[in-house]
Amino acid sequence: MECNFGLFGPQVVTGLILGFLYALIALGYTMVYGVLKLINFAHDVIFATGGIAVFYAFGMWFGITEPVSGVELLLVVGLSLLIGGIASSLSAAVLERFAYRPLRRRNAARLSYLITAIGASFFMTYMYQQNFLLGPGRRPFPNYMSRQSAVFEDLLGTRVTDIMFLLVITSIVCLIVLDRIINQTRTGRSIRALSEDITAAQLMGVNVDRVIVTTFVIGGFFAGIAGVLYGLRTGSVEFNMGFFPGLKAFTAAVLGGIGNIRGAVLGAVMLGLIESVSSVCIGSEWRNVVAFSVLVLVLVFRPTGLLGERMGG
Amino acid sequence: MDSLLKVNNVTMQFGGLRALGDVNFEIVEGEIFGLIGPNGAGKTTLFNCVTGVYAPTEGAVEFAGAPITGKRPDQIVDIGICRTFQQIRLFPNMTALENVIVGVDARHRTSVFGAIFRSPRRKREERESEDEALRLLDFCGVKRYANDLGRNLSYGDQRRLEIARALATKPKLVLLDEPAAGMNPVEKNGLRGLVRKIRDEGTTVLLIEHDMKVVMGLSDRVAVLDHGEVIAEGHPEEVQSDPKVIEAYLGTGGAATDGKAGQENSASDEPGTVSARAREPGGEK
Repeated sequence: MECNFGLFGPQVVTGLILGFLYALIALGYTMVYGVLKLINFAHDVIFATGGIAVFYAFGMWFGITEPVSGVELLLVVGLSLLIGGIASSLSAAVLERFAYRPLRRRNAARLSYLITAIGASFFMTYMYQQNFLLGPGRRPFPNYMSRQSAVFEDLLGTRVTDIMFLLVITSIVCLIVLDRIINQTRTGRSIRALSEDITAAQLMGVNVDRVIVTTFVIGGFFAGIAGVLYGLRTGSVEFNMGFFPGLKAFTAAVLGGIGNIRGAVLGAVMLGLIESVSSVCIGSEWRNVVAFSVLVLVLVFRPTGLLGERMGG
Repeated sequence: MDSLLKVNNVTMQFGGLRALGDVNFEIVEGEIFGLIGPNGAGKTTLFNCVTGVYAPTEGAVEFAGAPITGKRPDQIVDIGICRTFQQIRLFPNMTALENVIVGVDARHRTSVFGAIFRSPRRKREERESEDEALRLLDFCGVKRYANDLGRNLSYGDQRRLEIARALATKPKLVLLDEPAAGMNPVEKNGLRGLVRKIRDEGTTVLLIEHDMKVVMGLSDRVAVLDHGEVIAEGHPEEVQSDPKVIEAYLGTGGAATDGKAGQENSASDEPGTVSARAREPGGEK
């Protein structure tokens, strides 16, 4: 089967965009794994919470459902990202406090964490499915950003819409901010210390509970932003909207080396590219097969991922 | 002289194993207090009880007149006790400087928002933390490795870095768990100087040490732990000539038995009978 090179350029662009979205979600998986050695399988619902919060805030309460422009657009977009981020941070903090902390107090086995994570994920997902919340079907995401207008009409043969552009810029800003937090601030130092030796960190005066909640909050914030961007891009929210993006982001985190932040970004961008290029070269129905085959190959030949399992830069 | 740390009737029971039985001693402010005893005598367990890793089964630990039993390890650091580890536990992928700054940070409050929007106050604090950390690296003689990763330092320097990190929390009492282990004679000499310097700067030192030369030369007072019980306490010369101590270290009978078997019922045994086995005195004795 031959690649259709005419479509190659556009696939690289869409792959990159997809990759940045995965990266924002993957950060949460990788940071929580770094400090707790726990795969937080409920992270997909935390991601969804961001989009759902904006659906409620804008669609139901503020009534901002028509495209706006100019300064107003900047304010509205900023506000929506903030609302999504905060909602997801809160849900992540609640999850940590009520699902994981009790286990930590009892020194529970690794398996109990895993089961709890999966249980929490299902619990939250199907809460959203109840009729007093989202209900079973798709719901329209507030249309405050025009889906038609494009920044670049032709970039490598692709039409880059405002929404795509926003997604990439926001992701890059988030990644830079996180990198600074982790490598240059006191909070970041504590998170890294915890990920290297949790007992030693506590015995050097680090308040372990607080740092763990902070980690969930930071990871949740980025996932919430991703949830809003995803809602904008797909134009809808759904109770289980987090499932596939979450699974892909988790794959990306493992690909780059779980626990390693820069690895998660690298893995996410690679996964996005692989997925989108393979859908031209092989056929779009194969893209998930290819993506997860990559995961299997990495686990077989390089189980620590591309960059290995260390958090700092 | 005020007593700084008071260990009152501390007992630590792990299932059927009695690791510490009714341990009592006091550390006076400004001294170097040595805690010695054969392998498995309960020295590190006692450290863990003092620093909040374990809550003692019975008894209490008082620091500067206030009880500290049941507090979390990080709260105990806040109160003014910090430690090093027998098995080095640095943060291996952080630089030496960062390792120490983690200890300095423990004294500051953190907030995520302050971290993102770097206020002038925060920037000043960061600079102060860094200066303080550099001073401590210098104090411990490892300043030239400030930007090297913890795991790349030599063994002896890693021990010094651990001490610097512990001192960064500004403890009133620092607990050193076998700081000379694995050091060569030259490094041991240097370490003795460092421990004295720490005391002279006003920090009280509780020292676990296997090497008799190090501990006897340094300590103002010594307690000997055997099978979880204090069998002697006093000035190094007195303790050294105490028959019970000699027995514990060298054994009286000739029959060597398994060290762990004797521990389980050690509390009820008389020191003479339990220690009737040969044990290594450790170090270069």
